[in-house]
Amino acid sequence: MVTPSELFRYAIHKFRHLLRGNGGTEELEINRMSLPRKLLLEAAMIMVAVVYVVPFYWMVLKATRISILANFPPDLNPFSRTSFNNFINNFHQVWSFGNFPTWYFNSILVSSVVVTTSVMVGAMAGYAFARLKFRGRNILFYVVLGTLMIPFPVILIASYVFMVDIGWINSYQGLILPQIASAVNVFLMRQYFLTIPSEIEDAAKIDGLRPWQIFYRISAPLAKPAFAASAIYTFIGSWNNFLWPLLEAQTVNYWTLPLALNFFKGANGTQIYWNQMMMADILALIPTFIIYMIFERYFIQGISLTGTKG
Amino acid sequence: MGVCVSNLVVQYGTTRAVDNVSFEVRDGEFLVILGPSGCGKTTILRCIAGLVEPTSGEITIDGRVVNGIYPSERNIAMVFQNYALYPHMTVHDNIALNMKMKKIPKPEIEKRVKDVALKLQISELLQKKPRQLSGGQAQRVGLARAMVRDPAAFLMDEPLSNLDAKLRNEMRDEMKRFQKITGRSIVYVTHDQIEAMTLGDRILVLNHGKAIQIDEPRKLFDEPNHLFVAGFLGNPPMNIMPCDVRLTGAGRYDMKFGSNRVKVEIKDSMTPSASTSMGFRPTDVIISDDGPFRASLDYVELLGTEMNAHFRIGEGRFIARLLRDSITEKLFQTKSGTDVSFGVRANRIFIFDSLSGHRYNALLDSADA
Ligand SMILES: Nc1ncnc2c1ncn2[C@@H]1O[C@H](COP(=O)(O)OP(=O)(O)O)[C@@H](O)[C@H]1O
Ligand SMILES: [Mg+2]
Repeated sequence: MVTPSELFRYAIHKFRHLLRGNGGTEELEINRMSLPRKLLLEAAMIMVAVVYVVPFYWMVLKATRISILANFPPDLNPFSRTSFNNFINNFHQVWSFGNFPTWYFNSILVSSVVVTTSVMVGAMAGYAFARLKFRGRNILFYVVLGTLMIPFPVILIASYVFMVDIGWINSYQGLILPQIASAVNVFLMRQYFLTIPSEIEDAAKIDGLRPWQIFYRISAPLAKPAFAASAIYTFIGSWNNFLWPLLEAQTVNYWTLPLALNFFKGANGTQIYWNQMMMADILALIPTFIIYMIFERYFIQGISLTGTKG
Repeated sequence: MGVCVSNLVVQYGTTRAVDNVSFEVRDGEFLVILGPSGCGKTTILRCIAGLVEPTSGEITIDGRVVNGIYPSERNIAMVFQNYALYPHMTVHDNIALNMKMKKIPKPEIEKRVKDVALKLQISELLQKKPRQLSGGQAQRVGLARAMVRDPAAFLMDEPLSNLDAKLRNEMRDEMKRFQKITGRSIVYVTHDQIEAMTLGDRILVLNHGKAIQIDEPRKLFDEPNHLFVAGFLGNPPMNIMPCDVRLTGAGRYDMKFGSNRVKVEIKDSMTPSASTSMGFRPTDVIISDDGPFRASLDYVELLGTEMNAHFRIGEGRFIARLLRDSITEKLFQTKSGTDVSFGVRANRIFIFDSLSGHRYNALLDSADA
């Protein structure tokens, strides 16, 4: 049988092929497989691809319709002349209806600040837990780990009340700060720093680097894959975060894109305008897509590092 | 001058990794610290380097007490077993980093890097990354990084033990050359006695964190002053036979192992009831019909021009490393269990206290079976 891990590696292989026109140089099992096995794998891949692609196709298709009513017979081609005109039309409607530039700005600002600070804090805290000796280190570490066990909804109300009390509702700091503390990042970084032989840091001490210099000149550069992984996960989490901005951003000016999408769901009373909503979806996806294209290599590295792969 | 360690103690929780060790490394001397794994060798080295804070004791480098001084300020350089090169830097930058940190002008850095690279034959590797190097090349870079600092002393922690046997032999010669061209003191840690014997001007034998004996290699082998040293050095190591002791006169004792008896005069005091052992090297056994001792032959191993004959005396066992000649050749035909007469070369029998390991200052009077 084709195993999930083969499937995963083959998918990545195919995907790279698509993006760069080459499949990388690494030797894959697929190259050494028998023909029936290859065909089986190919069939499985096509099925997986269909499962992933159909929703995207449907999104684009819906964004090229005029109304919510279904035509008969249905026009399934999103690339026809009329489809294109409808698409432009929907775009104008959606764009003028909401305040997309602000929402883009908010989402990008919040996510980028959250990613940089959360990763930096995670790296420094993780490094301290991995390398520095201080009183209460283990207890503190278990406390940090313990916060992993608490689902966010449990502290949601408390966090909200806290924000109300300190007057941070409808503010960027209120959107950003609670997202920075990430036990996952601390843990991921600590584990990675532990895999770096400590003799390298000893050598650096003898070479005249002070602890802080050892961190930023030696250890941090060596932990690049861990930085990439935690940056990616933090970005995904923050970009898609819905629950916290929903409570925190109570005016349109502080909305992020997920809230905007929610807005399209209920913008016209009980009627859901799927075409407009799907259009908004596409707009919200564009930055993610660009970021993915740029950092594709790190996404794959990050996923492999955290062991999500099969 | 050199390095001086006095009354060094390192305590980790309940383990005493280093137990009151004192020694001195003279200027330009190659001192080897030898001992089994886990005996505290690395810890001593790391104390000298300033990577471990001693529980107590004083460390002097070049006449200056360095306790509490940051590693880079101690005027030492260290070479690691796993090379510990900076993986993200080129060989050149690995070697140059310590000079960059000292803000030495760039042209001077370039000159010195070139210079050591030439001396250690790694000029072609300067632009490579550590992962592109073989083990031997990586350790050369490790040596270069240490050498470029021109420190008062080099500290080396099993620098050759990650290399394969053939390369290890080559690099051993390299280490000797390294001492010559640098002319500095070297503290070299190893668990390999061949390395210790061939490289060391002197060897410090360590066991369970305690300094057992410090001496020239020859002296250490010929006159071990402790049971541990006797049983650690040599391949196979010294035979140790438990003995029964009886006081026969002032300072005179009868020692029995099996049916064999040795009369000895012991200059320092001995309690007759104390458990005592007799030791002799496998190479000091002589098979001869008029030898004073008897043992039953167990089996014989052929090594080529030499052989190992395994004997039993009661519960005890020992090995004789013999050259093959007309007499010893007969052992191949001798049945297992047969009694064989043998002797031990004059003055090559040592008497130890089995508990403390202390060697008695003993003089052999006579021996018989
Ligand atoms: N950082 C440490 N914490 C606790 N115990 C240690 C530490 N470093 C070394 N030890 C212990 O000290 C003893 C000596 O270790 P080490 O100096 O590394 O021995 P060697 O280098 O001779 O193999 C060992 O029992 C080891 O387990
Ligand atoms: Mg060691």
